[in-house]
Amino acid sequence: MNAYFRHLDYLMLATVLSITAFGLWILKNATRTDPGSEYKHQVLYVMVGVVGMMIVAAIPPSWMRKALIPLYAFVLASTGAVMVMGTTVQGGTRWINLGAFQFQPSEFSKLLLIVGLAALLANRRGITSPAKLTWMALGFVALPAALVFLEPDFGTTLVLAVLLMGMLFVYGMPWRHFVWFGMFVAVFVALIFSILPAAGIHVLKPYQYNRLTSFLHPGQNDPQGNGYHLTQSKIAISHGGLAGTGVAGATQTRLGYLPEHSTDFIFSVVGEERGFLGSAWLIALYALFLWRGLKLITRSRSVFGSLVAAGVVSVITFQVFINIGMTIGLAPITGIPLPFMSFGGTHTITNLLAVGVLLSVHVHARAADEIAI
Amino acid sequence: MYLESPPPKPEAEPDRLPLALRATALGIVAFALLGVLLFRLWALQVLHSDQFAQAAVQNQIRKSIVPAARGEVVDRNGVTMVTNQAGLQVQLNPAILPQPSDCTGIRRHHLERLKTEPGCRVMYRLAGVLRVKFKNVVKQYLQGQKINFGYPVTLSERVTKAEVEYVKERMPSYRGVQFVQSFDRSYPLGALAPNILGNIGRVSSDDLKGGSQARFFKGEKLDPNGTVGKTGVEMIYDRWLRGVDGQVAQTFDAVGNPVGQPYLVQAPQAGDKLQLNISSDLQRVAQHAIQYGIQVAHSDGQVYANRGAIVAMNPDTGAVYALASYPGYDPSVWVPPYKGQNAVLRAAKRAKRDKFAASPLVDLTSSAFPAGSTFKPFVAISAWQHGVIGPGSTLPCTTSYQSPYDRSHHTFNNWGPVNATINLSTALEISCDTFFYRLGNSFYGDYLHHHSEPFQQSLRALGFGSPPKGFDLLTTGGLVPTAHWKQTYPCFQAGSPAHHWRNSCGYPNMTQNNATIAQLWEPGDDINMAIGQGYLLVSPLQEAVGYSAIANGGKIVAPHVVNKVIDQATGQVVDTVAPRVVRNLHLSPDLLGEITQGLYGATHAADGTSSPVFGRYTGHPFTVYGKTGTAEVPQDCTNCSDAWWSGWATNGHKKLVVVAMIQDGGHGGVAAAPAALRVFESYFHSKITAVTGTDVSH
Repeated sequence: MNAYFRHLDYLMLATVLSITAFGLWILKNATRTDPGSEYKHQVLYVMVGVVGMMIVAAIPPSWMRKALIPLYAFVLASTGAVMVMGTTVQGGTRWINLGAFQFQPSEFSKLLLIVGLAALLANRRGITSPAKLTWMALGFVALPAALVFLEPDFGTTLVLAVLLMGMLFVYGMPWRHFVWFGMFVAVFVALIFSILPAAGIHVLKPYQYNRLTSFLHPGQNDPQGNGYHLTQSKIAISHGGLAGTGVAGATQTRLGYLPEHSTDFIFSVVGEERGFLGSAWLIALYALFLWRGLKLITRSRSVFGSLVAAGVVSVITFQVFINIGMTIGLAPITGIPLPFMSFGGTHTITNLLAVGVLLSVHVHARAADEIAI
Repeated sequence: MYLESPPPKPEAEPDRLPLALRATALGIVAFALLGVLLFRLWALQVLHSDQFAQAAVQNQIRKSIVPAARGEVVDRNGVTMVTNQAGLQVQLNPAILPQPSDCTGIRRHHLERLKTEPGCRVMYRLAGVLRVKFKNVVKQYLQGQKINFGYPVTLSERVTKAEVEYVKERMPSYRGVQFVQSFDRSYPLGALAPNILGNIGRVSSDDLKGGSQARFFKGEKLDPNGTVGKTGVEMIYDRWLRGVDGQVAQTFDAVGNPVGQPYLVQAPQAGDKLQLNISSDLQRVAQHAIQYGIQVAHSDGQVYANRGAIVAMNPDTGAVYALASYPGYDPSVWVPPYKGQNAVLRAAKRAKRDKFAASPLVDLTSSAFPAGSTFKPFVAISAWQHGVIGPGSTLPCTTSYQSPYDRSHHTFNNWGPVNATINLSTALEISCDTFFYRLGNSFYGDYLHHHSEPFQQSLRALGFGSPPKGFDLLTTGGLVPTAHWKQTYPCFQAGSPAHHWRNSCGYPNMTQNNATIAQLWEPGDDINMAIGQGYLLVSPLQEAVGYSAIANGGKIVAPHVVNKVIDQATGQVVDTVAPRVVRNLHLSPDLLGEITQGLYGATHAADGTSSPVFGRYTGHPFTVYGKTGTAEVPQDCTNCSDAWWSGWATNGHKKLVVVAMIQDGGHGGVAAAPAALRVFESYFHSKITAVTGTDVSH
């Protein structure tokens, strides 16, 4: 217990708690006039997440590694269960109704796959061929990714792909594998967006297609539809100016012009209410968090620890970029929430637990891999 | 080589990088992405913030116009003639109306198409609330958009408070519907002076583009949904009456619900009050007097008499006290609920087809007619000014007259059997035509020998042939025919189509064959004009100005309907229409004396043409001077003539000029003189006995 508190990464903890608190504050103001009680729910999620985070931080990484098979089984079972008994919201079947709580397995599977893939690669089981290892990792992620894609949840599928890439990169996957991988992605995108539709097979739902491509021509084809989200978001962010409009002046948010302002577009609220200074402050906090994560990659003596840190850093970076990028027209609208900020139970708790895993790695950074190859 | 610890195995992979380097590379990518975000945010929030800030405001705040209360119109005694009543109007705002809203061809029962056109669905619902046809709403909206694309369209239907509440409670279903306060004109005195007051109407595309009336709105910024005066003082004095519209802003949320209270951006400024010279009492008396004159004409057998005009004005100041035209109408027909409008429009339409039908929309005080014998004093003035007659001049009054210049030897008859040599005042008193034929013939001599037209010059100086200068309503100029006019007027051109002759020219006894002859200026043209006939056309208003000049000693005054413009709030006088002498004719006292004596004789002497009507009125309570006129209008019917009486009365303190005209009313002394007397009686508050005219005049 003494070691636990001595080796805790307090800077990372403070950073994450700052972002989370900032997020709660923004959410409270943004949803002031909304029906429902999103803020109260989010407070509860954060409390559960923070407690969970501190508990996970106390679990030695070596224990996590051992749980590889149960974790993976849980990922497959839960994402599979969504297909069977999921709740559909806005065209996506992503949630399992657990009574009081709507559980989103795809969100949770991000963390479990990071831990699982790190364990898989760290255990390695005597395999020395780089190609075999790459195939193994690919297969490990591809199966749940395929299930998530079919939900359909294109955003999380992308996150899982980034997770795989980031971890394999830090693991030291040969460059040529990346080239192959890049070619595969290019062919995949071409298939989905142009070749298959031309052949009459529509892989993506029309709404998905529009959302993914509308950022390329905002406000052009449908200002009331997908372009509307982006246009209103850009108006909101610009409206904030340098110092922000404050809560009362944030008319885009307050009058309901900004859609999804508690979830996917919460950054637009930050932009409008707190201006460039507030946005920059938030991005700086993310940068600080990422820096701590990157430090952890090299600081950890264990392969598992480094890989987990790499996974979390990749995923958080990607999500922050895609989410903020989508509010300002740099990235497609994919429904990826902003880590520690967006309203949502599963992803809030998952992200905090992921930080818990990083904290645990930090606490036990000095310990080498128990399982040597 | 894969990551291991500790220590890394020395097996060489060619593309292997140390762990720290790989972590750094990941870090570079991550920070680069965050950098891109920051850079973009800087551009959006700091560099280009303005344009989006405006977009945010436009998103949410919509401004609408608060109409200013239009100024009131009061009569010379402060009696309210036009005021306002508050109403509510409903507008369709294309900026808020859900799109698409192309409703062409959609009917009530095309529910499927209504679903795909949300804008039409709003109009459909609105039509239901207003209980009007969906088709009408669509039509009005499309027309409004054609005139002012993108501006809110005000529907003509009025809405009740209950309807407004109903719609406001269901605002998301009625996006694009908005309500504005409106002011409807209200006329407490009823069917009084519609020709003076005029009406207001929606700004038309013509007004905006600078159409025919645009000169009255010069330099004014017209609101496409606003109202402007269309006729009468409402139009001429629109600039003062209109006031300045205010602006109100309202914040709306994304769904279209208003948020908070609307707030005033600019308060409306009420228009100025107009005080007229018109006396509402005298105006009413005058309107009734025409009806009385028509009744008298009917009992005299003039079956076609059904319209007339009376002008009453102060000869010294030009203040017009009454400007009555019959038939009139209640100006409130132009105001919702437009009660009686159809009847008025039907009557006006019928009058276009049927020359005996009277149009309530035509102001007869400003229409031109042959003036008949009432014109004779002006002929005398012309003759005097050009030395044809002088003090004490006498001319023979014969039963007939032949002009020495006339090759066709046409005989011009006097209306009665007389044969004497008389002076000017007697000529006026008994209205001797042949006396004046001789004057006309003399003027023809001037034309023939000197190619000059002194007759016409004098008449123009007296205000004929052009609209009275300074008059503040639109009016006709009448016609003083000249040789040049006759040569160029299309009706007299050879080859002019026959129907054109009949329909547009209206002059009798002309056929295509004698067109070439007709366009020559004939002795008869001057001779007929000398008794107010021929091609001469004069409006009752011009007559009133002319008789004012005789009554006031030779000054042509500007007739004024409006007295002053008063600030509605403070009561201060903004502008005054000052009495104005347009021209002093410098008439010799001898001439004025002879004419006045003649006009007194005409109303009092035993052989005066209107003595039976006015004979008793001398000294007290007032003395009447005037001239009857019986202007032949054979284009109406064979024996038709317009009955005129022009003159003035005075009681030593005040003077009033009255011109009465009963169209197709027959003899001036029978129909017009009693009507004029009613106006005098009312003005001077006295009545001696009821008099019915027995006409002795032609």
